[in-house]
Amino acid sequence: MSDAPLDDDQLSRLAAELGALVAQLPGVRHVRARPGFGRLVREALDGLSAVVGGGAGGGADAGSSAAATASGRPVPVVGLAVTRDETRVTLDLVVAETASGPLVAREVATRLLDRLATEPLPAASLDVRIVGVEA
Amino acid sequence: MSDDPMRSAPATDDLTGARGGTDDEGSVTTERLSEYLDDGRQPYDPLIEDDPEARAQLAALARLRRMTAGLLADDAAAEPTPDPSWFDGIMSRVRLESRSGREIPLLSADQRSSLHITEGAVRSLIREAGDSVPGVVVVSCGIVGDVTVPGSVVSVDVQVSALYGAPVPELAETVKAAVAALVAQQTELVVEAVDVTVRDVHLLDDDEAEAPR
Repeated sequence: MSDAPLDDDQLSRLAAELGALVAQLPGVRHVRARPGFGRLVREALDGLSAVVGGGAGGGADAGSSAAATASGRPVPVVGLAVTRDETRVTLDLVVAETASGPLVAREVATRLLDRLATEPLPAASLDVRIVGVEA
Repeated sequence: MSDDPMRSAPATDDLTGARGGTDDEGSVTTERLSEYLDDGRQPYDPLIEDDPEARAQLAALARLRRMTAGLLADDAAAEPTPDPSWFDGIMSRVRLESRSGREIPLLSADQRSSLHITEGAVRSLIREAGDSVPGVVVVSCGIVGDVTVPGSVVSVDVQVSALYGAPVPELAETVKAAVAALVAQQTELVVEAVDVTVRDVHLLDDDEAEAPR
């Protein structure tokens, strides 16, 4: 499917790396796939060139999901959608009750944008949602 | 009445719709959550552990069980002991409240990015804050106002059951403070009021009522 600067397999690896990056940040308890990610990005973004991640059954591009699983990797939970103008990153978080949710979300955003700035991809934007707060 | 109303509560269709542990909408049933707790959360069930809504319901159910472990079974007591429908009612509310609901915006330094916390996450937090107050079981909770507009003023409504023996006005004030603190920590909502209503009072046996939690 991909016209993106990175092929689906590379994007899938990047999505997995982003998930691991977020998971180790202070205050983050879990990183979750956004339910219905594939459908949502197709409705929201025009001119998609690649969609990967979003978790198993997340509705991302079937080819990229197959590439990920064929190479022995699980489908990343972080969703990545690439258009000509934009790289959209979508993920859900569960944060620690002892942390401040807004601060954790902003730190996650900063770290993801910094990491994505090093990739040959269109400008990144994020859709980060806190879906749970746990002790 | 059984000594343990949580376990003796009959499953009702609107709560469980039990078919293979999930209801018609694919949500994990209260019955399945109860079994999973009984089994010590083993073996690992990804349908529950990987679903924030199911985990919130599981946490609420566990708290409810702990808090009501000493409920009197004596129907002749002077104060009413909760019957199974009381527990069913609370778990029904927990299931509704744990749904994602509206998306509550958080400030983002990057204009192209959006950061949110779900209303379901905040409601679960409110419930947890209320349940953390000894002598209180949260029956229902909600956020009143347009939470989707940054900076808009909202109020929080919390309906609780008080466990007999605790001074009700103090309980209500403690719930208010606990809820306000957690909401301020985890959201950027402008909360003008936390309204606490004590709907009923239930009995605990003496040992449980005096035990620290």
